[in-house]
Amino acid sequence: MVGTSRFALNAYELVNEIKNGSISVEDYIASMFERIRKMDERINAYITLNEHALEEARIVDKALKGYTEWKGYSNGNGNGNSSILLGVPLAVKDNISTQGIRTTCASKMLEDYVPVYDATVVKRLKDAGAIVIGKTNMDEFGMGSTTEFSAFGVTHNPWAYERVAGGSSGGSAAALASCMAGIALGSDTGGSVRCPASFCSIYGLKPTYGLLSRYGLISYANSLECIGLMARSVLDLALMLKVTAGSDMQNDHTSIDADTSLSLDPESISPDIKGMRFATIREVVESEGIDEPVRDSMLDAISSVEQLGAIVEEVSIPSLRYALASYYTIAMAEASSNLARYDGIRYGYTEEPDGVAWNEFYSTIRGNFGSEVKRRIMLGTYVLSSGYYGRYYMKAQKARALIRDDMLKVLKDYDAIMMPTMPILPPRIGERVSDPLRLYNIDVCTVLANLAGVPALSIPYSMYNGLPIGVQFMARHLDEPLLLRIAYALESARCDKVRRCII
Amino acid sequence: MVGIEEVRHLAYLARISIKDEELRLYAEQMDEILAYFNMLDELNVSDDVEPYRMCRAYNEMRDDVPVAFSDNVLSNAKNTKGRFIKAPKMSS
Repeated sequence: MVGTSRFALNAYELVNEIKNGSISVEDYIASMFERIRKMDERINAYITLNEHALEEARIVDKALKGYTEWKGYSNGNGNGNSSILLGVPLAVKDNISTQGIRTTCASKMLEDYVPVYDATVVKRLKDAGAIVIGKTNMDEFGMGSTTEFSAFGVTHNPWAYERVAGGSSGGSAAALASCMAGIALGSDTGGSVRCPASFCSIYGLKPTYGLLSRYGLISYANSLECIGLMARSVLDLALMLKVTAGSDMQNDHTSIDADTSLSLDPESISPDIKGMRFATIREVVESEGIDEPVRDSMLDAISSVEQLGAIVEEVSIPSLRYALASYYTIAMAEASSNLARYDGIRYGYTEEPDGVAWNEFYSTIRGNFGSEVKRRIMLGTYVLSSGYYGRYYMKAQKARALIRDDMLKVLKDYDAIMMPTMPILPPRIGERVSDPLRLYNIDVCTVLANLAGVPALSIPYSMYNGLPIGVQFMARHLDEPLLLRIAYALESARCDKVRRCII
Repeated sequence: MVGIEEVRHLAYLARISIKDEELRLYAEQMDEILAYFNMLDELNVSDDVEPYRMCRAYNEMRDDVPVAFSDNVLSNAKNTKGRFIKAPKMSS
């Protein structure tokens, strides 16, 4: 195959071309790098490229020609997945550890940090044959929804350069939408995978809390965050999920043993959603913060799923009013504790310690966090301090319990909850960044899944004046297969209406 | 609500140096955000509502196997002297 169109191949198509010998992995990766060098100057999706990608491509090619047996790069943890992503270029968000590849969290604090091990999900994807192509831009430590809070510059939306790509996994989404990667990893603490997926017209899955190991994910807010999966097709997502899901002895207390409870075979995903029951939420539908084009797209999505045989009804969840306040209080509290580790001693940004007192040294080093990170650490310190703990933090945890219970109640009666992913169109760069509270407000639909720990999937649904709009579904714990079915049904029904990349 | 002196104190508690000219903006922004968080205070929940706990938590124990100390562990430390890490003085 020749031309640029081969970069737009879905991962499962690319693997077929590679396995039948039409595409050499080394050629493909080399020309992908060429493409990145040409295009990424304008988009800024990548912070670091993997210098060893070509060597790894050659290892795959050798295995394909039968010279060697493919066992993965790390002594083969086969699991029957050993080659289902063979040769697929993988973009990894820069807060997920990659052995030997700089991992910065888009922060000056970690600008030269090189992990000595791979995150479990990275290791599993590599063992399935994926090739890490580079590390993608993000909001510093995942704190943001536009990738404007990066120490490495903003990521531009490939569909409209003057607009943001979303965040915090903006680089991963932009890399996929501009065909500078085949599949991508992000992380989702309050919507950081789904927001950029929606703004860039790709799929973004936040799995059930604990389904994917967090080993190697650099911590921000542990009780909320998950590693998330991003792709241009539903089958690609299914392949990634099959490879990455399941328990991990390195992260035992949060991983759920999915092997027995989840059927993740891509071949078993049917596009049939006839008779499924979806709930929309009055408080979201009627919210003033939803842009008109987003509301129209949502109404159109409702009629689409109804035409496919699903039943959609409106329910009310009054406790959702407290979702953002609960989410941000908890996230900031956990951030203030997690980020205490950056002390300039063992890794990360540092200065000469001789002759400097401990407190002064520690404060000076930590003065190098970006403004949003500083704001969240200080607010987290505030809500955890003794006079305010009961008023903010404990109340936030109780609100979280109420919201989770209310959502699970709805999910007893309905197969999924349906809502827009983002209430607004991708904002122009600079439009919202100076007003933190106004920026937090755009997470109103996504944080619900993190508070409740349920899986959520953003599906590219429509375009308004060339700007992507996504629709989001949330399901019961471990009901990822159902989300994939809904997405597959919409993908099949709307394949001529939705573009998922721009060449 | 949050004033300049309070931001200074929070920055001290969190060990983050902040420039004096930034204090006012931080105070304004944090004040606005905390005013929004105040809605949590109106949430009338009885004491029996258990705060959120992580679901499905269980511990799987692995054997405690000692392994040799690897130089890798120190590969990201910059202020080193031989096999020691240099840190600032803790007592004055």
